[in-house]
Amino acid sequence: MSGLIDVATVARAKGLPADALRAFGVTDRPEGGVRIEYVSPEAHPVRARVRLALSGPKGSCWDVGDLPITAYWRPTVVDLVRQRGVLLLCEGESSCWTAWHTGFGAIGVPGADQVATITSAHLASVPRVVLIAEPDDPQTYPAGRERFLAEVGDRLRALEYRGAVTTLDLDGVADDINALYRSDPSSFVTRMTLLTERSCNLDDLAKVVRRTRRLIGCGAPDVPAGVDVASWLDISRFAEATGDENPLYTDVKYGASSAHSTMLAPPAFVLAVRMPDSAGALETLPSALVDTVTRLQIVWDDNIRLGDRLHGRVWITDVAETGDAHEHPSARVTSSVEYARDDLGFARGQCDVSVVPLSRAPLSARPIYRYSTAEIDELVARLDAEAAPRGERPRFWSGTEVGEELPAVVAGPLTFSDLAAWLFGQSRPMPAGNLHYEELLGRPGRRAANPLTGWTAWDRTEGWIDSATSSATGLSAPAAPGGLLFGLAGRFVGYWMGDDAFLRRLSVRLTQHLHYGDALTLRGTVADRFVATDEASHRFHAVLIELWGQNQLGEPVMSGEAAVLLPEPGKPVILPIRGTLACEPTGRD
Amino acid sequence: MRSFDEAVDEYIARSRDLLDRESPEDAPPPNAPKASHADRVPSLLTLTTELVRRYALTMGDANPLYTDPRYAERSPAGSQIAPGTILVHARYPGDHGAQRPEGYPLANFLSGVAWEFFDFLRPGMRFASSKLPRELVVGHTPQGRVISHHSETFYWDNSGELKAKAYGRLLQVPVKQMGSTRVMPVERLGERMFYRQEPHRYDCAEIGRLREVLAGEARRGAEPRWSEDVRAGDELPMIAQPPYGVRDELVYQSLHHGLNADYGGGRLVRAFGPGYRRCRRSPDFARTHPVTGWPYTPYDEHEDRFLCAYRCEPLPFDFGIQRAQIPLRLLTNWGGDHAFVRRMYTTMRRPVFYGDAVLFRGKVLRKYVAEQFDDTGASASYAAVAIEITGLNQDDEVHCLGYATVYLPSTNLGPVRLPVPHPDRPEYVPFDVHRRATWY
Repeated sequence: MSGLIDVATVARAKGLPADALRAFGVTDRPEGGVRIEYVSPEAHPVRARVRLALSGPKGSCWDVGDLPITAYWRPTVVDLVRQRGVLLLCEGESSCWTAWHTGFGAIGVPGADQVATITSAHLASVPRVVLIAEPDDPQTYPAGRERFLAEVGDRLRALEYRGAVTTLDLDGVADDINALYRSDPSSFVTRMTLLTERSCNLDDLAKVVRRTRRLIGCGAPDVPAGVDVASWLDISRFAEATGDENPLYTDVKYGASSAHSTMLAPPAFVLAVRMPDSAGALETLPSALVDTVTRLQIVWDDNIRLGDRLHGRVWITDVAETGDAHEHPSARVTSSVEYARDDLGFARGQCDVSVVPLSRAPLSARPIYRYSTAEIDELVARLDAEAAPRGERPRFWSGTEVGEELPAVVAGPLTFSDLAAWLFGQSRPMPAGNLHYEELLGRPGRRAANPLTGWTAWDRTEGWIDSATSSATGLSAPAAPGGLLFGLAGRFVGYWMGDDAFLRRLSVRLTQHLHYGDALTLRGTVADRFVATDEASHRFHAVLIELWGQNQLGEPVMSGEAAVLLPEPGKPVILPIRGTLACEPTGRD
Repeated sequence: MRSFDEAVDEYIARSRDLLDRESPEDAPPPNAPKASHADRVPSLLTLTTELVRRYALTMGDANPLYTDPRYAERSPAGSQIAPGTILVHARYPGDHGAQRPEGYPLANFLSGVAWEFFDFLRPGMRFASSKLPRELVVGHTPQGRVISHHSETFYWDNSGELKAKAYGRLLQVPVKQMGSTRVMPVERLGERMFYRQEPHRYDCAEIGRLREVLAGEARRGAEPRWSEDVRAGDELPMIAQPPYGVRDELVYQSLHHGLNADYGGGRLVRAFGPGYRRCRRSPDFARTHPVTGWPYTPYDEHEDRFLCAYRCEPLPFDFGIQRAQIPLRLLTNWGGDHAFVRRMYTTMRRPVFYGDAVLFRGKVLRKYVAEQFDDTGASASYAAVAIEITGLNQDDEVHCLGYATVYLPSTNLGPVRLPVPHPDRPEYVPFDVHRRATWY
């Protein structure tokens, strides 16, 4: 019959060898179309399926007869599951063909309304089921994708399936497994392996949100304390970690001769006291979720001086289920922090941490960047020409103008040393492996199998510094943590404003990772000038800086703004700021 | 330009000239607040309750003597104490020999450290030290020359009391591919590798065994281990570290970073602009990154898998100094709060690579009574136990061997009395003596 498909047509459309399909029991029907043999684990005769067209609601139907209908499965699946330790649970046959052909065990539900065809026999000796969630489409999921996922979950529970169940969300990745295969057959196994490793239980996100909600108003359980004294060593480590060469932060004599009469710490040093990057209850649940800082703001009332006894208190203030532009599930945990010196508060802030399924992390992000000779020469020239910190020469408010550009600063190419120095500067305790292992036993959300060694009590967050394991952390390479980028922004503003100025507020939004090998360029302009008064009637001359950072490709990495209080001739910045600031109308906008 | 051999010859000659003179290494960084000591090098290390606790954690020892001041007050020590090996942060117990900005074509490895401890270290202490290179021995192997560089280091507290000594051995292996400087051209990476190794892949049984050892670690604690109850051949309960990873590379450095100046007296910086400028000033610090091509990449040869080949190693590998500290836990877990580790020696036989598990075993070799004297002739007797230390990896390959002397309480001699009497300036113990079991 003309116009009907045959095995060769199906094979071409699916990008699979026709012989492979035949080996899976797909045969040409004499009257046209193909017959798809179904097999039951118990070897009972079951009904076959007939496909007449490549797609469309009437493209396939069940063979005539009254044999039972079962899920799409073949005996070879048992071996494939044994080899990979995972069974893919898909909708339809072509996903199964693709999986079987490439060495993955898979079972197909023959239509989203046929979930009951899955039986205990299909799941015997299956340690883990990965439920493939294709993009929501009425042809695939007439009652909606979420309904299908819920019904599969119900079915597995009804069968008392005891293994792990995770969901691989293909939305935004590919239409289905076969489409993923056809996009690049040579890398399919690698990509599919990574995707299945990253698959998570969509319920996990909801669980993390639910558990985190209980923590609102409570201390962040996952943020260790850093330093408790602003010692010379800790300040100098922090200054180095942000590339800050201002002697105000390393030279005791210089500090003593400054307007402050002592050495100071960089304002961002508060992050070494306590970094408010809580991910809520994420660590308490085993999941394939990862977290990253997306926003950080600190407001200061005073400087940090050498020898100050410091304390930071971080508590969770909010959690919300969110979604990106494509409605991919995610959550946002917001923490607040208060910093005190001898129990008197002098700074406070807020931080947003985004929690996303690993499966949403980029699969094939660009490799570590390789610089051309010309790019290296340009970076060298820019680094050599970089302005020193302004230092003791005051930058007066009256000498600034809206639109004035700050000297650009280059940070990078990002090296292991940069990442290590940040960890040292951040001053969190670093227990040896045996004690860290004990800690991880109580933190199932951070525990994972090291992709290289298979060691099952590995800390997934190591992917931030270990280029061999970054993919297991949802990164394409090690990357600068949010606190480090914040610190670099603080240094950028500090170089411009000089020793006599005061950084009142710094707010940074992080838009993408700065990866190992990337070079960050920070730029900024004076966006506003205004006068403000505190509750003790001290007047302050302020400027608002808009700043942004790009990588070597010109891609945005961060943006933010800083409020800086500048001296005026005869009017130094008097600290601390008492209470809140009230802005005076300047008469021009 | 000088040849490879000439550069190595120069290193040997210059390093020999430096023998018996104060090492220029490990000075405090410029502009740091520091005490001054005649003939002694001050350290920025100040023992605080929190620092001691953190240090103990970096060596994997949550012993409450170090981490819980209230517990420690009730112990024989009478206060929180610090593991003696914390002195690695007062001064590195090995000496690298002659230096120059472009470096010498040598891959260096800390091959061994022998510690002598005389007393407890407590919060409030600060330190000064003196490090003297003492021996330089050139050996010959089928691969070429190997240079052993030996030093001794004295550690005094801020009361001027000598608290410990260390004997360190650095191996310097000439690498022809480096030419006449420390850094080989990027295109020669991989030509000479000391080992060929992939990260070990653990199966379920290996993971189970390792977890068992980790979970089974126990501390004797307050119950005295009497010398009379110990027999030659007794085995010490094993300790373990899980597979070594990049995080472990940073544990030791997390406390050490920033304590010292670089060889030229400048800040020993490695990040961002300051790190770049250091690379420009001191080419032995800079590597051309094989992937990014950036020619001013700092010297992260231990930690960064892309740079290990600059040290002729296939994978990230541990700092030998970590194995000069961790086995102390093996001894104190066994000896308990009433014991005192008098000497400990570890010699590194091969690197611990990324993915390697680390296990330490110990065995009692012998018991004896140690008589200790000071310069006035005053003496004390101790019930001493000599212990053999063996470090193994997951394949039972030996990566570390060593010995220790532990003083135990004795029903005859009483509790261990500290400080151990010692001459004001104990004589140098040559390598050929301190490397032998008979010295312990």
